[in-house]
Amino acid sequence: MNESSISGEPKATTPRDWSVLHRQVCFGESGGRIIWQPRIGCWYTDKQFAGEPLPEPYEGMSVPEIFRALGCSDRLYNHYNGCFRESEDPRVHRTANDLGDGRTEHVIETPVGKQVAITRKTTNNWHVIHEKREVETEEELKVATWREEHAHWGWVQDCYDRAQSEVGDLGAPTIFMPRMNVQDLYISRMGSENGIYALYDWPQTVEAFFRAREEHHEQLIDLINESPIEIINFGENVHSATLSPEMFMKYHLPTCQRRCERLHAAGKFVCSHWDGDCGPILPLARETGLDGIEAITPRPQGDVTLEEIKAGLGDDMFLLDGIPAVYFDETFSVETLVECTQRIIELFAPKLILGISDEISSTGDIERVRIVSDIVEDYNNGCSGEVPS
Amino acid sequence: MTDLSTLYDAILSGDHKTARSLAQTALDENTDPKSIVDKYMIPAMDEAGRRFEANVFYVPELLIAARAMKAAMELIRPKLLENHVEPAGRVVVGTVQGDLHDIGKNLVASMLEGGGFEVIDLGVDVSPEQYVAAATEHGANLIALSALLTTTMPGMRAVVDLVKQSPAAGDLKVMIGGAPITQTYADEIGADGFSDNASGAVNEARRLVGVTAA
Ligand code: B12
Repeated sequence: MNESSISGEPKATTPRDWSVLHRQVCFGESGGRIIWQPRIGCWYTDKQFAGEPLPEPYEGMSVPEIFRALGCSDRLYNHYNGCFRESEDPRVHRTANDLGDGRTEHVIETPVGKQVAITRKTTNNWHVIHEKREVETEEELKVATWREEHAHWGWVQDCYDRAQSEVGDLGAPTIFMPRMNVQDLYISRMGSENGIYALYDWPQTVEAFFRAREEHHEQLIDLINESPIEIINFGENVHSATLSPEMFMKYHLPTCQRRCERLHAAGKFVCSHWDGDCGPILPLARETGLDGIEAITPRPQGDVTLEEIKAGLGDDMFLLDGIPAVYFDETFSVETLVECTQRIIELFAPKLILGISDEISSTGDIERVRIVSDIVEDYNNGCSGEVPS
Repeated sequence: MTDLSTLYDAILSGDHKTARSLAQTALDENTDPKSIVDKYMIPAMDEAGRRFEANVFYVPELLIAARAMKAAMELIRPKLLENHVEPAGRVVVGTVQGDLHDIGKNLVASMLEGGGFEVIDLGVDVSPEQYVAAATEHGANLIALSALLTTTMPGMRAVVDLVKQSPAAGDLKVMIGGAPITQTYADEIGADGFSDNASGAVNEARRLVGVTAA
C-alpha cells in the first residue's frame, strides 16, 4: 500500500448503519441515545488459537459478520489503525533469527548502535514471552530515541477505503494513537520493572526519549487532524499501580493535555484506554482534557465502583465500556449483568459508549452480548430526543 | 561503628547503591550479619509493605525498595550461610500455566526475599508438574501461585490437587494470589493461604511456614 493524500467522507446511512449513531453519540447529537460496542476480539482469537469451534450460529463467520449477527456496533481500531503508517529511517535494518524451540532473536541495527530482543512463543495462545526486551540498557534506550527522532508518519488512503467498504457500517472511523511516555516505556520497550528502574537510574536519558516520542507524535497529530478520522483513542493501558499518581502528574498528564488541545482544535473526539486499576488517578481524570475514558473496570474486577467512576468523570466526560468482563462468564448470573448494565445507563447516558471492560474472555457466553444489545435497543427506543438530520 | 539506621533509610528510599555500600561497611566492621538483616533490613521492607498497603507507596516505590534490599542481601547472604543461618523458608514462586502476567508475581518474590525467604522463581506459564518438581528438588515448604486471568485461575486448583497427591503433602503448603483471586476462591480450591497484596504475602508465608516477623 502507498502513502497518499487524504480524501473521503464517512459512509452515508444505511438501515443498520452504526457509524452515524456512533458519531452522533460522540458529538452529543444523538438525542439522548447511546451505543453498544462490545469487544470480542480476545474471545474470537483465543478460540481460533485453541482450534475450538465457535458456538452456533457463529461458526464460520468473520468478526464483522458476528457483530452484525449480534446487532451491535464495533469500535473499529483494528481496521483503521493502518491508515497511519510509521516508517523508520531507511538506515534502520531489522533481522530475525530463529533460535529454535520457538525462540526468535530480533536485531535492530542503526547508525548509532543496535538493539536486540529475544521472544519465545507460548503454547497456550498467540502471546509471546519477552526473554530480552529491545531496551534493557541505557545505550539501547539512546538507540530507541534516535529511531523516534528519525521516523515519520504517512497516510494510507487504501486502508481507509478498504475499511469503509468492508466495515464502514459497523462504526465511525476510529484509531488508537500509540502510547506516550511512561506507558510506552513500560509496555512496548522495557517491561514495567526495567522501565521503573530506568526512570530512577537514568532519568535524563529517559526524558530525552520521552521528548523525542512526543515530537514524533506531533507529526502524527498533524496528519490525524487533516484526516476524516474523528474518534481518537490513546491506547495507553493505564494502570495506576505502576503509573503512580506522582508519575501520572509528572509525565502522563502534561503530554495528554497537550495532545488533547491540538486534537480538539481540529474537532476530534479524544479518549484514552485505562484498563487497569485507576482509583488513585481517577480524581485527575477531568484535568486530562480528554472527552472520555475507555475500559475503566468497576468492581468486582477493577478497583472502583460505578459511583466512584461517575464522581471522577463528572457530567461532561464520557464513559466508554463499563461492564466488567467477568459478568459475561457463567460464574455471575444474567441478573447481575442486567442490573449492572441498567445502572451504567442510569449513571452515564447519554455520555456513554457502552462496552465491556475490557473484553469478553474466551470463557464468556457470547449470547449475553445479545442480552445487552436488547437492553440498549429498548433504552434507545424510549429516547424522545430529536436526531438532527 | 556505622549508624545502621541509614541502611534502613537507604532501603526504604530505594537507594540500592548506598544500601549495598552500607551493608559492606557493616560487614567490614564485623557486625553480626543476622542482626543487620533482622534489625534494619527486614524492618525497612516491612515498612515499605505497610506504606504500599496504605497507598503511600505504589509499585515503583516498592520495587526500588526491594531492589535495594536485594543489593544489600547479595553481600550478606554468603555470610549468613557461613554462620549456618537458615532462611525463613523456601518458596517456589511462579505464574500459572497460560498466564504471562508477572509484575505482581515478581513483586511478591522480591518481598518474600526481603522477608528472609529463599525464593525459587519459575517465571511465567508454569505447569502444575513444574511447581511440584521444583518444590521437591529444592526442599521447599511453600509454593506461591499467581494468576491474573479468570481463564487461568483454574490452573491453581490443579496445583493444589497435585501437591495433595505428592509425597510432600501436608508439609508443602500452597499460597495463591493475583487480581481476580479472593479468599473465597482460595477456600474453594483448598489452598492454604491467600493475600491480595505483596506485603500481605510475606505475612501469610510466615504464618504458613510457622515463623514470626522479625
Ligand atoms: C499489565 C497487564 C498486562 C500486561 C502484562 C505485563 C506483565 N509482564 O505482567 C500485558 C499487556 C502483557 C497483558 C496481557 C493480557 N492481559 Co492483562 N492486564 C494487565 C493489568 C493492567 C495490570 C496487571 C498488573 O501488573 N498489576 C500490577 C501488580 C502489582 O498487581 P497484581 O498482579 O494484581 O499483583 C498484586 C496482588 O494481586 C498480589 N499478588 C499477585 N500475585 C500473587 C501471588 C501470591 C501467592 C500472593 C499471595 C499475592 C499475589 O500482590 C501483588 C502486589 O500487591 C491488569 C489489570 C488489573 N487490574 O490487574 C490487566 C488484566 C489482568 N489483563 C487482562 C487481559 C484480558 C489480558 C489479555 C488476555 C489481553 C488480550 N486481549 O490479549 C492478555 C493476556 C496475556 C496472557 N496470556 O497472560 C484482564 C483480565 C480479565 C479476565 N477476564 O481475567 C485484566 C484484568 C484487564 C481488564 N481490565 O480486563 N496484561
